[in-house]
Amino acid sequence: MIVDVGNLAAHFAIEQVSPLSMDYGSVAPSTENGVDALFASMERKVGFEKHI
Amino acid sequence: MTDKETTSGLGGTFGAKTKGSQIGYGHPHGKALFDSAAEIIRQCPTGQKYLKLVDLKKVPVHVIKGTGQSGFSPELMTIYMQAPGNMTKASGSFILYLIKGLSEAAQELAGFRTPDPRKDIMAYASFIHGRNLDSITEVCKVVKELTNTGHFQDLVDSLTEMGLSGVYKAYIEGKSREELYEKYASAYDATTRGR
Repeated sequence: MIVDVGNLAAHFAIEQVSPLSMDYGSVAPSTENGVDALFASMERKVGFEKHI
Repeated sequence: MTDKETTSGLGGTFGAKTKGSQIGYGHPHGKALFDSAAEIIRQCPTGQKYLKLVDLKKVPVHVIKGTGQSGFSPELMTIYMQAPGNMTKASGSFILYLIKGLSEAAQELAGFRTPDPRKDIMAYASFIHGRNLDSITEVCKVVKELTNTGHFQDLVDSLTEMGLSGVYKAYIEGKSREELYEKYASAYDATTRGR
């Protein structure tokens, strides 16, 4: 991930927070459903635009 | 966006944008690199969805000359792709990083906003590792969908070079997200220790 200069220190800090040191339960939940909803809304919008 | 920002010119650190497009090319062969990657990504359903994201949501993709890391910047809502100056056609790793960047942009657009790392580094780490896992899973999905194309082996080789062959194997075997996380964590640890 590319970060801006303001977040550079944090970016290096995260490299110290290895995912091996984190329980799976503390990892952010899956984004799959939210992303699917985004794509579905894009499809609906395209479909709508095709009909006007 | 001002006209100055959308017009080609000498460009700044990251080069100028092509007028009328959200694709920026600081790289001498930036357009060819993006187009050749898109041509391959377009050959599968998931890839087509991500290319629509570029078209409909105007996610900027900047191709710049360099050998550093490619990736998505949530602060700038921009995908920065780096490639050596003499590269004229997208390599396997270029394609994989582009898919990963597109997946991360989709997550951000879907409302999964990157938290401020200065406020809580653990919350940030939790978010970033979750995001990495989901975007790498999407990369695996695209590679799997391209199984019957002539690009498949090159993409699998690139996954291996990136240390992600274990994640891909687990994905193909239909493992759970938790099991994929274990493979991702091992790969991440091995990669960062090797730096």
